[in-house]
Amino acid sequence: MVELPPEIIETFLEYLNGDTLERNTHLLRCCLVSKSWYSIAQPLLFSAVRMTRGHWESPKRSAKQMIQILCKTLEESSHTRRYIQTLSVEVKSTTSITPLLRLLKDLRCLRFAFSHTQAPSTLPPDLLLYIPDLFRSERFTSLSLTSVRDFPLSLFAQCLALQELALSRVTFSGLDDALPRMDAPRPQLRTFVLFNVSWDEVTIFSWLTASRSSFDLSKLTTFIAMDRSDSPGIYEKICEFVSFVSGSLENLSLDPPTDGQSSGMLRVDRLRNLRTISVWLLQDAEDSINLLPPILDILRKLPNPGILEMVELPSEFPPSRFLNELPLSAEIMHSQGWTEFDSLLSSSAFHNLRVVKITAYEVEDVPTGLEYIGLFTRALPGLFESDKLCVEATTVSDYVSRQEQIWFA
Amino acid sequence: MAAPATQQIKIRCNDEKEFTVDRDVLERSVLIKNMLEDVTEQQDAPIPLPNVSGPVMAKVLEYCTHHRGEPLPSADTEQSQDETRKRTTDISEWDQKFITVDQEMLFEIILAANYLDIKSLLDVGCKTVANMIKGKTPEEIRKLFNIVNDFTPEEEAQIKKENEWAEDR
Repeated sequence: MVELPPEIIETFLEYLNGDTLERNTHLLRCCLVSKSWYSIAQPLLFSAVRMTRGHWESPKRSAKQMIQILCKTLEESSHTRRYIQTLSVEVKSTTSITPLLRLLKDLRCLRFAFSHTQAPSTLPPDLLLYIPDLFRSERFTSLSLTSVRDFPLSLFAQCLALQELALSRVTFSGLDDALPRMDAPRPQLRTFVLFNVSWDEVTIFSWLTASRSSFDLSKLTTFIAMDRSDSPGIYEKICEFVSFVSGSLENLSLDPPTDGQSSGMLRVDRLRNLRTISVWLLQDAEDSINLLPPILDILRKLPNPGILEMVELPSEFPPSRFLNELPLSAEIMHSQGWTEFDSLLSSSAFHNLRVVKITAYEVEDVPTGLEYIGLFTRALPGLFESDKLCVEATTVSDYVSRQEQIWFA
Repeated sequence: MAAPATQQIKIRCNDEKEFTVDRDVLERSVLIKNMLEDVTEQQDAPIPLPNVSGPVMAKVLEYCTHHRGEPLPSADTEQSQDETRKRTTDISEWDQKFITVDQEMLFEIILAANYLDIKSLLDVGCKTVANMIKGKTPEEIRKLFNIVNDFTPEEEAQIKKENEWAEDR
């Protein structure tokens, strides 16, 4: 039998993906194989601790109990503390995670969410007191906050290593206070995500203005703004922000309103380093159809177009139609299954395609996702002979978790 | 005008088996690519590859020939691509047929891909093994890799206790 070195075993185990529970189950079993496997599998098992909604669908334990069990382990087996790099928690406003955070001196990424069933809440006082300590760590580079109310803006000034910031349903306190001077040390953001912020125009203007002072945005490469408010006023502010950071941006995701008039707000000529653009069309198809021609116009003007990703393409605007109009390789996501497979295959633009993805948004189960693949295979028999393409089917829950990973990659 | 002839390179495996291969095929291996770039003069002596046997090299060359011309990952994108690759266990149809070999050969190909620094081949091999590990009990994994259980019952209990937080609830 060939003897495999530990680094190769480690690579095998890194590929044990799947959802969190599956991955944990595989790695738990690997820990029990032998002492050498234990030393490889346990750091991987602990590297990303996730205590979020998916775990609680049939809860035998509350989040509070899970946090207590993990704290006990970290106290008794102190060698495991340094393994935890990413902590994802979703808690009720009464549950404190501070005792857990105090044990994690090597934490790099915190994804904190208050339970999705409750209104946004303020952070508990003990956590607010501890956050400056967490933020001062040179290792702490990534923060995601969901459903948090009145987060003190000034705290970011202490988080100098921060590179990735994602905000969903978050409001801030201190937006009207004096902002840091532009030459003061500030976190240098690489990724900035605004998701479902649901702010009004005044708030988003204040926040985006504040963020220009609170962060060094000269190296910002990824900006994702998904608000679903369908407000031209908010979109205008977001476009102004994009202009401000346009020199460094490589990846941009936008959720433009469907009035069909707003696309001109984006100064595409300045996006000289853009490699990927995602346009989310989550409104109903009737309105979205108005948006597509101006978007195509934007894409044609991009100095350096790379990949286009369109989400939920309306059926009135089939892929073959827009592919024929685009000079770029396209990555398409579509919820309904395509009805124009044959014309897509015969389209000259088909040869520009690099990846075809099918996303079954309406379903949660894998069998339905597989049906989509079957449908696609029957409709495009020549597809699988092409080395250029790969086809991927996923369900909405997988997609959401993958998006999170992409944001924090 | 005729196209310039592709440069042919000789390699010698640890069992003295020699191959003469088009340079662009061999350059799928970052190790060999770097070696060739370091050599300024035309060299007739075969490149020695002391960690790879002839039969394994034949398989590796089959892979490299099929994938010749595909872009190699650049250094700056390598890390993010690694992460992306590890998120999916999809293997293309050709690669899947290629890697359907006995376990001894599978492990030999993985070791060769690691030594020769052929990321995409290492990727295919590791995904295949990861798929083999999934769903297996510790005892079944031991059997698969010919590993002896060196835990005492107490140590095993301690590990289960340490990892209790991650157990399926």
